[in-house]
Amino acid sequence: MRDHHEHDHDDAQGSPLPEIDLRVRALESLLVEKGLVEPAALNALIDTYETKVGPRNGARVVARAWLDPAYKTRLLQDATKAVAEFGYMGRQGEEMVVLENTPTVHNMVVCTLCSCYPWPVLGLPPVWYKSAPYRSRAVIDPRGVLREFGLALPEEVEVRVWDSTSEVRYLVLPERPPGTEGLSEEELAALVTRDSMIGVTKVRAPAAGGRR
Amino acid sequence: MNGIHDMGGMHGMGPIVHEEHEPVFHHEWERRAFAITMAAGFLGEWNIDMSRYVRERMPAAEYLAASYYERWLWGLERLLLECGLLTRQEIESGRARGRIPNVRCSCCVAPPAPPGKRSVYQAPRALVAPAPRRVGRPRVSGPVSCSAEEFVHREEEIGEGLRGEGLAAREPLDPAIAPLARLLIDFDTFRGEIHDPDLGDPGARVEGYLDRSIVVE
Repeated sequence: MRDHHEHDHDDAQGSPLPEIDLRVRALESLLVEKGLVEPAALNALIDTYETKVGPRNGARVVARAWLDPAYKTRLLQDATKAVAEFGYMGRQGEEMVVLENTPTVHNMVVCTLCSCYPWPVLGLPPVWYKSAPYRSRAVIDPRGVLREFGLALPEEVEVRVWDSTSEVRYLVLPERPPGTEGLSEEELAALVTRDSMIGVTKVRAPAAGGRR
Repeated sequence: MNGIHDMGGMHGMGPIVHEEHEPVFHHEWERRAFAITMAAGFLGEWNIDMSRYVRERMPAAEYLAASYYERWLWGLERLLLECGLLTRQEIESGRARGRIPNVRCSCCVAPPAPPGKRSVYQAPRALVAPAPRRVGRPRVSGPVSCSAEEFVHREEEIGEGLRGEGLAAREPLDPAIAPLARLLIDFDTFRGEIHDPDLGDPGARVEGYLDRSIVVE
């Protein structure tokens, strides 16, 4: 077996690896040995999703939509196509929908069944998004969930919760914060957080500081 | 399917734990579990519905106790077993038995579509399985690039009495897998007639897989 080079730093001699670690290693080497997967492909996949695809992609989309009304229109009409203008497309983003937050409507996204999430624009989902507490409560107590994220919305703001499926993935277009006039697309993108694009927080103005 | 995975509206799951500056993966094994699951998905033996469904079959108590990538691993092992790509013995021992890729079983014929796309399931085919690598050329040749989006059907002569067919990706490339763009994905079937008596009765009709590995060009 070639190319089996992965060694954890805590893989001290004699100290047994956790069972799950051994199970994964065994399966990986078996798949490689059978010619079912290629080690180079495994490393490329990890590198792609660990360093190349992530919420910075979504942030650029959001910043452009804030600056360019024509782009925003395209984005709200056909998100998959408009997002592809940046070259972001593919797996777990075959059909994307963008939801616009306004002063009167707040959108948030969940996947109650598992972890569906728009990978091309947000990367892989965080643990909390995939966890039982968020999946169970987002649809029954969205305002309570938002408060846990530090977002207390006034009663008159309508909250819409979107349950993702394996076919349709949602991205929230957060409101552009006040005090950001004159910022460039890049500067605006730097303000946009992953959580604001899931719809559990708002984007904060640069001077406001404080919580992310 | 009504099961533990269908969590919307359940009570009692506790507080949401939000981790600041969360890494994409928390452990090396999560990286590897993610990668082998994705790469095995490229084999085209199952689609996204099948990989979700298999995780939903995890017993409720185990499901709740398992972390996300533990569920992925659990599902991957079962898909590999159920699609006949690995045997239980192989998974349990961690050792391959036989040098030839297992021929997929007729009970589980996956759609010829990239994972993530739904497609109509094909009727199971009867399989006669000579050693695939010894029949004709090991792979259908041709310029192939890889895309998650669209695959085109190809068919060509691959050896005496044998035609191969399979799926090849079509442009444009999916940037999310751009590093894989030079990887060739084979999930080619072959069908034809046996000529080499070593492989079976001459004249017998055969059908099966050539190879399903991902190859770096």
